[in-house]
Formats: sequence, C-alpha cells, structure tokens
Amino acid sequence: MATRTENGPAATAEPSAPSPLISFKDVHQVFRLQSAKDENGAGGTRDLVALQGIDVEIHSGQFVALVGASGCGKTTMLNMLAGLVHPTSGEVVLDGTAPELPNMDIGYMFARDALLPWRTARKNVELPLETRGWNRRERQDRAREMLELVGLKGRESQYRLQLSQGMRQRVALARTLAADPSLLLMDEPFAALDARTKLTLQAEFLRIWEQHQGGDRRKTVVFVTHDLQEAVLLADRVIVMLPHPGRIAEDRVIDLPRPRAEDLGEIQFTDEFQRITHDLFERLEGAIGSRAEGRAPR
Amino acid sequence: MTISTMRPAPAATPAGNIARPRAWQSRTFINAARVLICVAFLALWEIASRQGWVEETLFGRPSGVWTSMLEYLPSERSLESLRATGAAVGVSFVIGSISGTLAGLILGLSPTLNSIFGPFLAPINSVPRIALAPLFIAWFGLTMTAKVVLAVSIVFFILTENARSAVRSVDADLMTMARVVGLKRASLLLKVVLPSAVPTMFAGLRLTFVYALLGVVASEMVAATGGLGQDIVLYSSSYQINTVFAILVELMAVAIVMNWLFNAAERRLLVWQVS
Ligand SMILES: Nc1ncnc2c1ncn2[C@@H]1O[C@H](COP(=O)(O)OP(=O)(O)O)[C@@H](O)[C@H]1O
Ligand SMILES: [Mg+2]
Repeated sequence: MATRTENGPAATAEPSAPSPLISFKDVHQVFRLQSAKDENGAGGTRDLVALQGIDVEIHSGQFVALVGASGCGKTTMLNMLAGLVHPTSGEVVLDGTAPELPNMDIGYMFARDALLPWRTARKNVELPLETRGWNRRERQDRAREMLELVGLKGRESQYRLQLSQGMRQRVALARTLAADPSLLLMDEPFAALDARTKLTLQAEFLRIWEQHQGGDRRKTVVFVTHDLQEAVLLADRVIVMLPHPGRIAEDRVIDLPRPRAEDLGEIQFTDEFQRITHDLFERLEGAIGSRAEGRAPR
Repeated sequence: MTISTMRPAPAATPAGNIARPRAWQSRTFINAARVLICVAFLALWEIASRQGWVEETLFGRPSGVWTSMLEYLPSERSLESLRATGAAVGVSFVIGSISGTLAGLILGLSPTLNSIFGPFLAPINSVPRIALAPLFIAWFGLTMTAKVVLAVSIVFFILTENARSAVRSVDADLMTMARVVGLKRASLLLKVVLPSAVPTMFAGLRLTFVYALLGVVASEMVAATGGLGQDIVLYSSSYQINTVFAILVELMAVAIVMNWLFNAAERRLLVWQVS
C-alpha cells in the first residue's frame, strides 16, 4: 500500500512475519491553547494534553474500534493517520512511513456528512475519483454503482438539502468507499442518526466490509465511536480510551463470529455480546475510578 | 381532492383544516393593507396639494407626477439621460464587481497580502465617497469616467469585504474533507472554496447594483453633461417637482427590475439551496 496508489490494486507484498500496517509509538499530542486574559491582563497559553503515551499496533485487514468519551483524542488519532496532525512527540507509522497528506489510499468518513451542498449525490461520490485521475465515464459508472450499493439508487441527482440525514451519511459512505481505499478512517460515522437508521447503516457498512473479507484486499478499518455497543458489535478489536489526558485503558479482541452483518439485530441480545460489553463497561468504570493507574495492561 | 405526489397529503386533523384558510386570510389581509396604505398616502398627498395645505410647486402632486411621467419618460431627453446613466451604472457594476471580488478573494486566500492591505480597507471605505465626486470630476472632466470612478470606489470596497469574508467562512469540515480527498490549490479553490462563497457573493452583488446606481446619480448631480442625476438637479432648480418625482419613480423601477433579474439568476444558479 503505497502513499499514492493509482486506480489499480496496490502492491501489497505480504511479508511472512507481518509487520503492523499502523503503529503508534509512545505518541503524545499537546495542543497549546490561547487562554483568555487573566486578571493581570496577560493573555497566557495553556497546554492541553490530548494524547499521552499512545502505543498501538494495528495489522492490515483488522477492524479496530476506538471507544471513549468525547475529548479523549480519538479524532486526533485518526487525523494523525490521515496526515492532518503530526504528533508532538513519539511516532506514527503507516505502512512503513510517516502519514502524509494526501494519501490516496485512505477513505475518511466524518460524523457530519461533509457533502458539498452544490453537488448532486453522484457528483459528491465522484469527488475522490476526480483527484485520482479517473475519467468521466469511469467516475459516473463507479458513483452510480456505489450509490446503489448503499441503497440510494434513483437519488443520484439530488442535492444535499433534498436528502435526509440517513441518506446524507449513505452518500458520505459511498464517497468514502468509492476509490476503494485499503484504509478506512471512520469518525463516529453513524452517531448523528436515529437508532433504526443507525442499525441499518451499520449492517450495510459491515456487509460491504465483510464481502471483501475473503478477497485479495481486506480493508483495514479504524472506527471511532463513543458507543461501546457499536464498537463490540462491529469490530474485531476494541480499544477503550479515557480522557484528560487521552490514553488507552483497555485493548481487547472481540471473538464474536463473522460474518455478522445479517444478524446485527440478534447479536445484540446474545449472552456472549452482553458479557463482553458488560465486562468492558466495568473495566471502563474501574479505570475511571483509578485515574492515576493510566493504561491497563494488554 | 387530488393527491399530490410531491408532498405528503396533509393530515385531516381539525388543526390542519383551520390553519390553511387562516394563512390565506392573513396574506390577503397584508396585501390589502399594503394597497390601502399606498392609496391613502397618495390620496392625502393629492388632497393636501389641491387644498393648498402644501405648496404644489414644492411638493408636487400625484396626478401631476403621473402627467409628468407620461410627458417626460418617453421624451428624447429622458431616454438620452437613461442611456447615459444606465451605461455608467452598467460599466461601474461590471468593473467594480469583478475587481472587488477578485481583490476580496486574493485577500481572503493570502494571509500575507491580507495583513498588508487589510488595515487600509476600513479607513478608505469610511471616506464619504460623494465628497470625492468634485475631485474625480476635476481629474476626468465631465465624462462617463468620472461617474464610473465614483461608483466603482463604492462598489469595490463592499465587494472586497464581502468576498473576503465569504472565502474565509468556508465550512471547516468541508475543507478537511477536501484536503483528505486530495484537493490542492487550484482544484481546492475551484471545487470547494469558490462554490461555497457563491451565495454570499450573490447577496453582495445584489446590494452592489443599488450602490452603483447611487454613485452614478450622485456624481451626475454634482456635475455632468447628462444623465438622470443631472435631470433631477435641473428640474428641481426650475421647480418642476412633478418631473423630479417622475424620475425618482423611474429610478425605483429600474432597481426593482434589476432585483427581479437577480432573483431569477439566483434561483437558477443556486438550485441546490432549495430543499
Ligand atoms: N486543533 C486543535 N486545537 C486545540 N485543541 C484541540 C485541537 N484538536 C483537538 N483538540 C482538543 O484535544 C482533545 C481531544 O480532541 P479529539 O481528538 O477531537 O477528541 P475526541 O474525538 O475523542 O472527542 C479535546 O480536548 C479537544 O478540544
Ligand atoms: Mg471526535
């Protein structure tokens, strides 16, 4: 997976002893904030530790969920992978190098749809294909195909304002997947949706991802959410984070069977699922109780 | 009852049934009130003038304005003035909007240029531009250039400020998305920054037309060989007040027509804004 891959499949040379696709090595992120003027009239600065001592390795093809309350640095971690933020100290390695912008092999989806309101649904999906040098015909065909995949056939020529929130996130999903990137960064993609729409979209996303599973290219997913249930439901591995400063509290493999896409509704009520979420929840609560403890052992 | 495919059929609740006639009633009421106010105003004016409560030579009267409109508006002189003013307004609108928008875009996109030139904008823009009319007339003579320069000096700054803030207020999420997707420089500008500035810039252009008209007419009033501004001065100094009002009505009509055109253009260009 090179930094700049053209349309063709990336040359993924799988080494016999696989080195991780992503690694965070003792990553710290400090934001210097301009604080309001104090009594002396001096406008001081305040340091905000967004991430502290993050050590994570993610292997190619893994579906990893980052869970945690707002402000624990989840978005910052995704931004680091996208090359939008560079760590204050420590090292982020993506496919052997430091992430750089733009990486054509990344799809990044946001909580807010970030659709261009002056473009139709189809033209929005075409956007990443334009920067990747696809020609008109190819772009149109691909965009139609992607919109159909996310259940928006017939909505190609509608503008953002003419679509419901669920539909907007579908378009955003189609755009994220359109160029077939091998790394998906998902930042609370379904957080703004109502429970029903959310479940439908989770299932659709998982179905699309799981279909690639047996194939030559299984996408790596880093899925940020503040919803523990969603994390356990979708991911192979759940990393629980804590805020102030942002750090990792728990890192656990979820061994629920796959494919899950078709039974998401039922899985939620299985004992196995309940046990895992309950357990993680308790760990989370325990970790909050003993703040000074920092990261839990792996 | 026909079933509309576009919108869901309204629920047949009592509230729904009552709400519609009420909205309809209030709209008619408002329109009637408007017409009534206009008619009452004109009638009062007419009566006041006829009864000698106000001097007709100073205040005119609606019936007189009507006659003057019929006489003046089709006259050769009027058409000539309209042509002179119209041409100057058109030229200053085009020059002012293009240069102002470009300047604003450049300032909005370049922090360096913005910090150099930005501080000059507000002070220059606070000079009452009409006060510069005699200067421009001295420099350029009784030409169209003098009028255009004055109008452009107003329009330019409005649009610079407008375009600058339009470019700077591009949604942060859209910018992040665009950068991640791989848009850079020219393509970022063309595909994200400019389109998102269009609605704001359109609102600015609409305002600008009125200011271009203002600048040109004001310049003509100070000194010019022709134009509606000149006519206003001539007719008011010879106490042909009804003709002055006729010209004002004409100016108003021009502004209204232009506003319609802007609305139509906006509707076509910004279809995506309508849900
Ligand atoms: N560009 C920035 N400048 C200053 N502070 C920031 C910036 N980005 C994030 N932060 C702060 O860092 C912390 C972590 O932010 P974020 O990564 O967005 O958390 P999360 O996505 O988990 O809610 C928050 O307190 C946030 O206010
Ligand atoms: Mg976030």
